Amino acid sequence: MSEEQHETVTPDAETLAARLQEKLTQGIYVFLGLAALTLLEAGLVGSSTIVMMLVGIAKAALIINYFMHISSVWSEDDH
Amino acid sequence: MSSHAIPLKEATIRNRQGLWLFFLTEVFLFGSFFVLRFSLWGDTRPELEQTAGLIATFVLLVSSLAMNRAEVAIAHGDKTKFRNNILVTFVLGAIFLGMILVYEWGALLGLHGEVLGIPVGHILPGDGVYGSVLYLMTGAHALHVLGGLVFIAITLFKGMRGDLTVKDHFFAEACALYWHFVDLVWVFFYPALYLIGHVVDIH
Repeated sequence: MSEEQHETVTPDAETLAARLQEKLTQGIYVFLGLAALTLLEAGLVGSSTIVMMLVGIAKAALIINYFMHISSVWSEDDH
Repeated sequence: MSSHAIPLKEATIRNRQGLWLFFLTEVFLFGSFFVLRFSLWGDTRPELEQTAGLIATFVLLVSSLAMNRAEVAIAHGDKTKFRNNILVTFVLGAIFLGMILVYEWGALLGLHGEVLGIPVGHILPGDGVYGSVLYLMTGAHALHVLGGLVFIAITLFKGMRGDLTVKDHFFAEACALYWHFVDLVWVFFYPALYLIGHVVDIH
């Protein structure tokens, strides 16, 4: 692929600000999900390992997908 | 020697892939500690201070949110939000590290009684499998937190110097990914150390 094909136009300030707000809001929703799952597992103290691991996997999925943007490993998507 | 410039977007994807390969090696490291915990402790655990564990977990969780906001901000050209949020991440990371040192490693550091109304750690590394596994898991994780704090400090410095731009901010992205990975490890270490199994008296 040539360098020209990789060139992208930097969005204007208004578009960037709108996208920023959207991403920040998404981050808060993800955090609230993680917080709820953490409280759930703390409330389940002493219960089975499988249940605890399922809650852990759900939390890990949120972090990997939304905070670590795993899909961007294979794409040119920016965060 | 010939030089071949790789387009920025392609370089970023390659860098991301390299970073994720690094995370894979870390998964093997932390995964081995995780397996060790279950093979040596089984369905038991030492008595750890639940309040300290939950607060520390929330501190790390909020730091992850702040790091996400910092990364998103620099990717969209908002340097003020980037600076404020990465500073919050640094402070919360330092608090997490301090809490682990006081409430888990307290006995080793010669602390007694309570700090801020929460009893300090009473387990020593020599307290059988419980002490050794606890110190191994929290110690390895704490070292990564410490490394993350250095990474955050460098990222903040680079951001303030103007090295990070909307188009080229992989350094900040790598810092954020590393910090979220540290949080990810704790997602599994927290229940493994504090929540799973019945409490046994180790003394």
